[in-house]
Amino acid sequence: MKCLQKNDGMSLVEVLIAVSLLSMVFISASYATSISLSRSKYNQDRILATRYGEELEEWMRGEKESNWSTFVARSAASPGTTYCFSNTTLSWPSSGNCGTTFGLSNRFKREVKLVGTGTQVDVEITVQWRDASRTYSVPVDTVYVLWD
Amino acid sequence: MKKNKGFTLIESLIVVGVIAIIIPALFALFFSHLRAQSKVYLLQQVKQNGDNALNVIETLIKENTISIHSGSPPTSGNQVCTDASSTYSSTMYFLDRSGSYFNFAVASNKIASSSSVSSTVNLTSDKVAVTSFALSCAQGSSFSDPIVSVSFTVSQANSVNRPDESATLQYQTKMKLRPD
Repeated sequence: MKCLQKNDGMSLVEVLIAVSLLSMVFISASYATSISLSRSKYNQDRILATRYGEELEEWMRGEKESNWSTFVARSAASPGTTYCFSNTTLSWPSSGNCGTTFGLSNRFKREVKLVGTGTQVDVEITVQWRDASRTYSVPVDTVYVLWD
Repeated sequence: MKKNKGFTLIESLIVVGVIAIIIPALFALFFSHLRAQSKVYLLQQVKQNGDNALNVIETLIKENTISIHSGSPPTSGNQVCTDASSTYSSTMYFLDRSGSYFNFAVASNKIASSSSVSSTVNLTSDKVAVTSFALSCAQGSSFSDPIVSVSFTVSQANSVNRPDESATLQYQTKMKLRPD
């Protein structure tokens, strides 16, 4: 009888401690997972944005190589001319920035600013995207010079 | 005997029910994390391979090529893109300064660089597939050097079940030869 009296299950304090320990483990695990989930989304967007920037840079170099005079005519002295490349197939749009439209693949905004006249043009490419009301951007800057 | 209560059936049912709600939620979060990671990994691989291939092709053509030919071995007879407004967009052989020549072609979804002096080298790995690889050349004016354009599409090699997991990137560039 004395032995059975001791067998009284868990006390409230014990249950509380166990539950709070368990919930701490669960909460930290889900927090860490969701943080790394948003980071990998960011990484993925950044890889794409960098590619879009480099793609435009290479295309610009092609434009410069094929005809310098038409290329430099699209540029202007500081503050320069801005273009918005919101199509995946590249062709010259009319000048002007993208405004608030993130039109490239419905997620990105790709703008380029051409500054300079004569034999040197500074090219500043900016690719931006939004994620959960924050705006991220990847800059790609380069300088094109007429050699010959 | 009165003190020996433990948990009742109802209490243990509630505990099991709560755990049954929490565990699937955690697993769903974890698996969406795994999927996002694998997508980043695929994209990274595709970009790495594409960047590398574009870099190698660009450097080889820009720094070494002196003329472009339509056949091998290159002779003055099969040289292409030599005068203004002449364009060419088929198999090309690039003659370099030492008299040897090289070319690029897609074989079994990989960009292969072959040359007259060394064995064929693949510029992309098995993990990615290259499609719509195109080379073309043109000359702007009579006294300028030919411009070579290259374009290709890189995607992951194994087809995926979910369309949103496919990683595809497009590459294109133009470069002017520097023969002198």
